[in-house]
Amino acid sequence: MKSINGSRRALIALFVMSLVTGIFFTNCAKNGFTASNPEQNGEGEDPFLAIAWHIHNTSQKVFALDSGVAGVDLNLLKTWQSGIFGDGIKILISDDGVENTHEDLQVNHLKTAVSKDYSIPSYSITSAAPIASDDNHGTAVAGLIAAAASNGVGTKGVAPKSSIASANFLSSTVTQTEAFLVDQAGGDFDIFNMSWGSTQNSLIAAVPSFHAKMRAGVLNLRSGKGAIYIKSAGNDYHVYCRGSKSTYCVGNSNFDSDNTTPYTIMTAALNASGYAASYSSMGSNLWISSFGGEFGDDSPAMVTTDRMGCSKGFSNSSVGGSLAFERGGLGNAGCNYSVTFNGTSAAAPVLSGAIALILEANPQLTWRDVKYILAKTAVPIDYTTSGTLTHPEGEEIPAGAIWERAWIENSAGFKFHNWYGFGRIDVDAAVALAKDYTFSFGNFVETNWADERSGLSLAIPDNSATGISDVMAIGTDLKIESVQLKVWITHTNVANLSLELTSPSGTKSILINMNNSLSNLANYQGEVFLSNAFYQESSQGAWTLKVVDGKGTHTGTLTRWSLSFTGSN
Amino acid sequence: MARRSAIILFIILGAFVALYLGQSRDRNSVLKIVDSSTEASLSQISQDSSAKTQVTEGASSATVETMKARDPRSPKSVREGSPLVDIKEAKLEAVSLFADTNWKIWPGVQAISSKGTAPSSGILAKVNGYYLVKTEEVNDFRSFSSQRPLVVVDSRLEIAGVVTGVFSVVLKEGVSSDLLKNASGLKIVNEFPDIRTYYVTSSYEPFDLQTFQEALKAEAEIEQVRIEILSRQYEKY
Repeated sequence: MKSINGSRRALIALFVMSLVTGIFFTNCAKNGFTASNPEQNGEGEDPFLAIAWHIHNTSQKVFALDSGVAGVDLNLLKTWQSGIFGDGIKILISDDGVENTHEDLQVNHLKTAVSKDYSIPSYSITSAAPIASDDNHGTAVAGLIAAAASNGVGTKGVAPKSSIASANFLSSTVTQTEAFLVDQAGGDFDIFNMSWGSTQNSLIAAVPSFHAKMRAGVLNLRSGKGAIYIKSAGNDYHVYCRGSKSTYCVGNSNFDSDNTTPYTIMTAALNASGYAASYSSMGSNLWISSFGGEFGDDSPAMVTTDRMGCSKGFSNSSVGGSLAFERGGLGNAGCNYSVTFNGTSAAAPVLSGAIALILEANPQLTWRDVKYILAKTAVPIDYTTSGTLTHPEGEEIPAGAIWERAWIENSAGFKFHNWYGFGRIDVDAAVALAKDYTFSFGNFVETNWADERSGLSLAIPDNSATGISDVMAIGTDLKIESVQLKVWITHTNVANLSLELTSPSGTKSILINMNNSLSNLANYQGEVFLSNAFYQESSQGAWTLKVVDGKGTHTGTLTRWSLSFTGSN
Repeated sequence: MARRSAIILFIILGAFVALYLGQSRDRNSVLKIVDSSTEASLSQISQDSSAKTQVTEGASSATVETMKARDPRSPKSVREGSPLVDIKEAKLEAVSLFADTNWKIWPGVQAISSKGTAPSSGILAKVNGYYLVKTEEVNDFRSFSSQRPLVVVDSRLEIAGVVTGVFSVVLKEGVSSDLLKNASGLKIVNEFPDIRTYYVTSSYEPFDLQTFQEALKAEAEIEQVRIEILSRQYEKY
């Protein structure tokens, strides 16, 4: 056998090295991640993408004490790898303004006069940028949706090629009139992101024209396929009791009438461990859970864009706390990014971005199709149908009563929980279903309160698990897409009461939990609450409303109730 | 020389082969990130959308007996929402303008825009862009001026509201907005013809809110009339 000379050995070594390089180091760029430590100092294509755990959770700490759980994220890598980034999808961010000149947002911000600055008389304009010093929220929301990709700065939005515009309805400089509320729900957009609401310790009256505008939007926008309205469920799982500035109660997303129409997709927030975030409001009106993080000190919050410069925004040179990043350290020298943004405010834009990916995968989807796909592919969290949950503030309830149930599986096979909706969003699964989607809903039917029980005088036993039950026979046979309850109860403290519906097939949904934040509020006077727990069940048959009084002293009577269904026949 | 060129070419080809193999492995490794239950659900969902629904994660369905309790935490910024107003001493006035509602006039209180300088004292509440402060002036709903909005209270919810002098009007199906555009003494502030809704107010001030409302309600081609009361603060979550 001939011996191999030196030059040939060198060449063989080079060949082997090239093989090794090709096998082990091509993966990272393809996935869109820099192969770097999560705590790195601002290098790479999108230097802070590595700490965007909601995109790819490798149990990064993101400067917090505790890390998240690897794998708990949007599951969107296949979607990105297939080249879907939200291209062609237009999203209106209704907030306090978006910094359209931000280095990581400007390329995706629409340049035409479709933004809305309500601080000026003729408000259709090319941008509605932050005005007041506290107008920081919208820029953070925008980054989660549409921070540009591979531009050498910042992070990467869930839909980094989507197009965004701004309506500054929440700016401190704007008076929140009904007309502005209505206007920000209209326009030539595919998705409307609403990371706002009202504090859930009172009953928030409906603005009928706002609901009408959203209804028109789902019926007419996108050439009749319907716009998608994404709304934050609220941050009031732990909220001051009504009238108190010291005692905490449990809020409910259903207390805000803007959250009780079939036209919105309500999102809860998950933390980096995959569970409901500590603040995320509960409610039978939830649809899905997206990612909103915790507070960034104990557990990761969200990395996103922030108003540029260290004299404004969430991250600035004078902010308190221990996170150097927020004061311009650790690669954030310009204070152009923040790692403490959280809330269902964050969950909504993450979901909006995800839906932009779904719509790019199949632009023919209607708003009802999108809801179906999200529900069908959601991943139930902490799934069990056994056991019950106790009052989080430690309040006692009557023996034998249930404060909150575990997961239910309805007769149509959908799993639902008041903390999570149908579960955690799974982008790859949703996009896969969108691409091969064949399901057909049929005509959209709304029964508009056609069914009612009135003239009642049913005394509610005080502090008793027995409660009172009343039955309504529904003749209409729809495949349910939502159920709304309108109720009249005379009672000196409705905070004590739980309201539970049982469908003809036996599925139970607690619409309002007992011992909640409506402390000392008298009477229900036709307020509307919504449940998604009965999705795709049949509406026909006997429906039971059960009212339970969970605390002593205050008493009352059920006098009237009504149901409204949406669905298809 | 020729042999050396061939060897260099072989190295380059080897690099391309390695690159190709790496990409193939990427695709396989991405698929392997997906656990078996989700992978099954992906293929099933794509074939038949009525088949698998919400596949639970393998570990959770096998081991969870009860759901994990939540540990609530106070929100980052303290929000009171629409604060309850102290109306114990207030002599609220029920007027027919707000018939069939819980709204009553709160006399002796005026609304000042919060865009200007905040009053140094006497702020009773802040409601949607307005400070509510005590006043000696008498605000009469029959002589309303938008410069001095009327302050009202929902006696059930115990929250305050500001009457702006604007009304929302919903026209009946098929009715032209010319009805409003040609009406004397009325001006359209905002319009949403897609939902037949127009926000209107008087062309003249001061004006009688009740008379204005009654005139609108008396119009047969108008389906609904609502007086605008700003009572809530839309908050960033």
